[in-house]
Formats: sequence, C-alpha cells, structure tokens
Amino acid sequence: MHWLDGLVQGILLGGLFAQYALGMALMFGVMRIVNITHGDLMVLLALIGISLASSYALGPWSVLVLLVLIGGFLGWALQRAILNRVVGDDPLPSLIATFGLSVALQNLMLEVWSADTRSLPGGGIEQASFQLGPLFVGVLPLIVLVTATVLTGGLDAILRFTRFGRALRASSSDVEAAALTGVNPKSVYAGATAIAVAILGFAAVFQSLRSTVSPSDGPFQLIYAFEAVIIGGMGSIWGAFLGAMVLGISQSIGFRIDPGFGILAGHLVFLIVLAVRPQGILGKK
Amino acid sequence: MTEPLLSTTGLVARYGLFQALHGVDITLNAGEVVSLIGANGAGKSTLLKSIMGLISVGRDMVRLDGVPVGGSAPHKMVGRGVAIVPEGRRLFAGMSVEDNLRVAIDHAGPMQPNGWTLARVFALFPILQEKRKVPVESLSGGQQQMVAIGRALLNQPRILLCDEISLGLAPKVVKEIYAALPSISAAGTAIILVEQDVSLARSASNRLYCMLEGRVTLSGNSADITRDAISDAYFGGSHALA
Amino acid sequence: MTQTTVYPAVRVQRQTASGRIALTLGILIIVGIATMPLWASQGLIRDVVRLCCFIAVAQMWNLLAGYAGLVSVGQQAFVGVAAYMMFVLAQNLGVNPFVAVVLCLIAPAIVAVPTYALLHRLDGPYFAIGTWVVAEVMRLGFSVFPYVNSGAGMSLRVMTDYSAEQRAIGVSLLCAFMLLVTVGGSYWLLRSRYGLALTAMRDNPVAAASQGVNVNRLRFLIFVAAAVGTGLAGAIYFMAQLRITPPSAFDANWANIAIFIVMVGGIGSIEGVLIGALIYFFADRWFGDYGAAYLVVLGLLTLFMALFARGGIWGMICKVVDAPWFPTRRRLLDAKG
Repeated sequence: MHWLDGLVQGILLGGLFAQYALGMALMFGVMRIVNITHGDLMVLLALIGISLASSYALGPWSVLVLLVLIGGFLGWALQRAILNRVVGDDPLPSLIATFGLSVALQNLMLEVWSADTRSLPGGGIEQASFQLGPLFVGVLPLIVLVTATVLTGGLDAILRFTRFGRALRASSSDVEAAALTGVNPKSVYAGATAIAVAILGFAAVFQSLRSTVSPSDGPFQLIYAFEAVIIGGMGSIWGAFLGAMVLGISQSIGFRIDPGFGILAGHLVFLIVLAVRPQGILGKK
Repeated sequence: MTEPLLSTTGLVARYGLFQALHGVDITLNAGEVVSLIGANGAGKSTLLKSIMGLISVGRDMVRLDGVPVGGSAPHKMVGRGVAIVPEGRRLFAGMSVEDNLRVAIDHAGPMQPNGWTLARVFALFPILQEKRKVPVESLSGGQQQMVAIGRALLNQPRILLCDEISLGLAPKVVKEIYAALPSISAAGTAIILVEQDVSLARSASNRLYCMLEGRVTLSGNSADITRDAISDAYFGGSHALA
Repeated sequence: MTQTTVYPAVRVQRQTASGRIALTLGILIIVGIATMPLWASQGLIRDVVRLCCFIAVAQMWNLLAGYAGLVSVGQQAFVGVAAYMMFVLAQNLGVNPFVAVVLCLIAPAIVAVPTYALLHRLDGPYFAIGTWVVAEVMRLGFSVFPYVNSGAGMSLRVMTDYSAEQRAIGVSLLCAFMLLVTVGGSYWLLRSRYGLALTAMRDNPVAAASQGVNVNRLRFLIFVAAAVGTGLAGAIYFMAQLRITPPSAFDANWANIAIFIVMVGGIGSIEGVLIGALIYFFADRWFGDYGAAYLVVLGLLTLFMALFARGGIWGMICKVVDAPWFPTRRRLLDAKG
C-alpha cells in the first residue's frame, strides 16, 4: 500500500511538473532555445500572486486568472525584448542571455520579497482529500493533474487545428520556408513564449497552494521541466506530459525509500533514460 | 509608360564578403512568363532570394508596381502578392499535405479575382487530393514538388517565383509539372522560372534572361534568341548584351 | 595581374611584438606568484589565490564554450568532485595534501567521461542544462554519502600539521602551476596543430573536420581537459578554505563566475579571460557587500553582453588596436616585408 500510495502521489506530482515542462517543450520545439529563466518566471508569478492575494484579498482562482494573463504578457515581452535577438543556430547567445537574466531576476526577487518562503492561502482546499478505496487522494493534487491533462490536450489541439498551431509547426520544421509562405516568425515566437509563460501562471498558483515558494527555487523547477522533456522525448507535447509523470513517480517512490533520496532518484532516472533511450519514451530515432 | 509589375534596378547582393550579384536589372510584366537561365553559381537563386527579402538589399533595388520594396521581410513580400516555390521544395516535414497547404491559405496575400482555392489546387494536381492526409515526407519527389507549387499558389500570388522546379525529377514528372504552368499563367499570375534546362526554359517562357557570374549577359524574347547566343551568354563567350 | 603558377615567397608570422612582451610579462607573473611567500603578505596571497582560481575556472569554460562549442552551466560538478577527492585523500587516507591536490585530478577526469558520453547526444542548449543536472546529482549524492560526512561537510584538519609559511609556499607553488597548466596549456593548445581546427570548430565544425581533425574526439578531449583544469582550481580553492560542504563545493555560482568573466572579458580569447577575471575580482571586492543588488547588476551585464557585445571588452579593444597578448593566428607576410 505504501508503494501504491507512492505511485498515486507521484502521478499527482507529475501533474505539476507537466505544467513546467509543456512550455519548455513548446519553446524548444519551435526556436531550439532553452529559456533558463523558465523556473524563475514561475517563482516570480507565484510571488506576484501571493502579494496580490494578500493586498486585495483575492481567492486562488482569481489569482489564477490574473497570473495567466500576466504570464502571457511577460512571455510576449520577454520574446520581443530579448529572445528575438538571440534566436539562431548558435545556442550560446540565448543561453548566456537567459542565464544572466536568471541571475538578475532571482536576486531582484530576493530584494523585493526577501528570502522567506511563502505560500498562497487556499481557503481549505489545500488540505481537502477524499478516500478512494484504501487510498487518500488530495483534492488539490487531483485538480492539478486534471488541469495538466486539459492543458496538454488543449495545447496539442491548438497545434493541430488552429492557424497559429500550423504556423508554429511550420516554423518548427523550417523557419525560412515558413517565412517564404507568409508566416512572420517573430509573431509565432512571441505567441509560443506567451503561451509557455502563461502556463507557468497555472503552475505558480498550484505550487504556492500545495507547498511554498522562495526566490531561489527557480533553477530546480527549470531542471525538473528539462528532465521531463528529455525523458518524454523532445518535440512532443504528450511526451513532455508523460516524462513529467515518470519524473513525479520516480521522485515520489525515491522519497519513500529515503527522504534524502527523492529528488536524486528523479535525476538518476533521467540519466538512465539518457543512457538507454536518448530519444526519450515517445521520441523517434 | 505603365510601370512593370516587378522590376529590379542595379540589384547588388552579398553573402558576407562574397558579392553574388553585380547590378542586375530585370523586369516582369503582368501576364508574362520569364525564364532565368545560367550555370550553377550564376546568381539566379540569389536573385530570387533578394526579391523575396531573404537577402538584405537596398530599398530601391526591387520595385513592385513601381513602389520600392527591396529588403522587406519575406512574409511582407508574400502579403504583397509575391510567392516562391523554393529551391529544394522546403516542405514542412512532419505535417500533412493539407496542413502544408493550409499554412499558405492562413497567410495568403490579398485574394485575387478568381483566386486559388484548395479545390482548384486539387483539380490542378489530383494526386494531392488523394494524399491530403499523408505526411509530406512520404510523397515522391514529383508529388512533393506539386505540394510546393500548390502551397505557393495558395498564397494568392500576383507573381510566382519558381526556383528549379524540375531539379532531380524524372523527365515524365517534369513534363507533368510544366503542364500546369499555362493554367497558372492563365489565371493571371506572372511567373519567373529559374531553370537549368535551357530548352525547357525557352519553350515555357515569353522572354528569358541569361545570367553569368552575377550579371545578366543576355535577354530577349525566348522565341527569337538563337542557341548560339544563349551558349555564348551562358558560358561567357562574347558577353553578348541584348 | 599575377600568374597563378608562380607562388610569391611568403613566410608565416606567428609571434608579434605585443605577444613577446606579454609572454615575458606572463613568465614574470608566474615566477612572482610562485615566490609570493618571499614578498607578499598572507592577505595578498589569499587574494591572488582567489583570483587565480577565477582565471583557471573561466579559461576552462572559455575553452569549452569559446572553442569547442560546448556550453556548460555545470562546471561546479568538477570543482566539487576534485576538491572532495583532495579532502578524502588528505584527511581520510593520509596523503600529503599538496600531493593530493594533483592526485585528486583523477576524479574530475573520471566523472567527465560518462558525463560527456551521456550528454553529448543532447542538442546545444539541452547539453548545458544536462551539465547542471550532473552537478546537482553530485551535490545531492555527496549530501547523503556518510564517508564524506554527508551534508555536514569536511574540514582539512591535516593542514594544522604545517606552519603558516609552509602552507603559503605550497599554495603559491600550486597556484603558479595552475596558471601554467590552464592559461599556458590553452595557449600551447591553440598554437599546436589543433589550434586552427579549434578556432574554426565553434563556428564551423565541418570546416574544422576538413582540417583533418576528428572534431568529436577533440571535443571530448577538451571536455575532459576542462574538467581537470576546473578541478585543479577547485582543489586549490578549497585547500585555502580548509572546509568543504556539498552546497559550497557544488555551488552554481562557479558557473555564474565563469560565464560572467568570459562574456564580459571576451569569449574565444585568453586576453578576455584575464580582463574579465580582474573585473570580476575587483567588482566582487568593492561591491560584493551589496549582495543581491550587486548580483542583479552582474546578471544584467551578462545579459547585455550577450545581446549587444558578444566579443566582450577584448573584442572591442581588438576593433581599435591589433596587439594580441597571446597571438594564436598565423599571418602570411610578404618575404620582402
């Protein structure tokens, strides 16, 4: 029962990781860049949300709506101001630019919000749970998992069936040919980053409801997102979702073996996948 | 005198330190089919890329209806009614035939009178209708070229640039592809054809330009130019200028 | 104009006046560092050791990112693993600590091999994050490893067997050795027959391969060499600290320092690393007390360099005067000239 519980908790944790991973997979898929501030932006949104909630007495769902909107705007602005200048074949400029921004952002948050850990009051939802056979399942983790599934399915549908999705897939396949077919790559990129950071708005609310955030947390979330994307298979939205589940289960089971081993177990599973199936679970050779 | 549909004047283009075009002047009038011939490296593809805005050039070097548009981003050129069938086809791998075509529909220039629709492209190349749900990379070379042409047409071009559309295809397939050109032209689209095969280029066009080392070395009506003149211009014999 | 069949007589110039002056100065500086106990105070020695560690870590990162095209944000893995190995050798196994600094370098070399084997399949940016994961695995692994006292860390108590003078002599000699290996070694490598391929490799791996160099193999060797050089700096740094814990040994700030120094100084040049290291050293000294605000500026400066001045300060200097300190180019001169 101990292990079954670990499995269920792991899947629920995976729901949160999926919300980090979706945006990273999307951005890498279309621009071949990794935004090192990915985790820091989640933390920034969470801290903004916590401040908004306490200043204006907002409930978590109003905060969620605001953070998704703010996230979308932040992503768009980040792309226009910085990332559009560093997209290219050479991975160095985008890495260095976002690495520098990450250092600046973390320390800026430290100045504004101090190093304290904070969380978002959820009005009881964070403790609520129900019994499912022999297991207790938290209401919040279940909401997180359902949200992650809906987000993944929604993003997949956007990519398949909308004008923006086709433009994004075309740019991802051959950006020059896409431009010659009338697509403005910069608009597509800005849209992709806006979506990626807007999804972080969901992650920010759920992370700060179920646990705490502090300004230096970002890099860890970045690494979880990255591991989920690689485990699942690059360039696949459902791959990122699946990878997040595997990572969540690994950490959860590892934690039950030894509390100090949880996160390490996730890293080790990532390295094992890299060794035996470098293209990831859903990736094609 | 009315302005030509498209013209380049003194067009100069560089790749880094290498100058690929040394002052190219060409014109394209409404309803025309013009061929560009020349050996590898003569600058034909570079000329098309310069017109499309893939290579930065001076504003005045490219004019559309007399309006300077040189150096505009490629998607803006598409918006103004210029579309290209790029060299090597450059289809969107991983996407179906229909989705490849839909990208062009989504980002088309202003709709032309009796403009192109998915149904008309399928009528032009019936095999594409059959394969509409198939990923483009699983098509044959000729079928892929049809998708590339269809994609460009669905951008609703007034001007269609075709970069080596016969390259690497079997003669029978080339014939099939070229058979489609008159109906494209008849729909009111002017065409620039870059073509390696000189006799094909002559028979398919009203006028032709021959390029050598980044310059136009010969131009005239396709029917009037003799093989010898083309041969000289092509290989740089006597630098005949029409 | 010229007949293509007659080749004009040329000679290849590889050294310049500025290069000769810099080489002489460099040798004097290394001798100066080796003899520090004779002329410098304890405080100055400590500062020079710190600066030398920055230079070494940054130059190793420069070799990776500036030449091999391998961007790493996890070099702290090698800082920590070498330093820990040195502590284990000296403290747990009784090896002379000054000898242990050299012997411990086997550890980063051994870690670098599987790290590269696993990560080299990843696309550029993902390679970078992958190196970070490896560093995290190291940090977490050492935190739960009782043999190295887990999260509580270790102290280098054996150093109390040596007098302050003996320690100063040992550290100074090691520091001179480190500069010789990392900076001198890079210079030698760039002037060797691999030099041309190395300078071409980042921008154009295909052209580098046409030089008859196995690019993948060279990348791998540079990754291992950079791990060893970075490890040497880590071992010396923590020998001077006398204490090590997993968070300090595997501190992501090492990557931060290396990236800042190289990007501000000038990527792809040894001169840039020296300039950047001096700037970082003094910035840290003068503004380090401002804490977070100082790091905000540092981060923004790195961002600014990546956006607007990819060649760094040395790149800007090169546009004005052509006087390299470490000339690595070959120049064709007219025989008469």
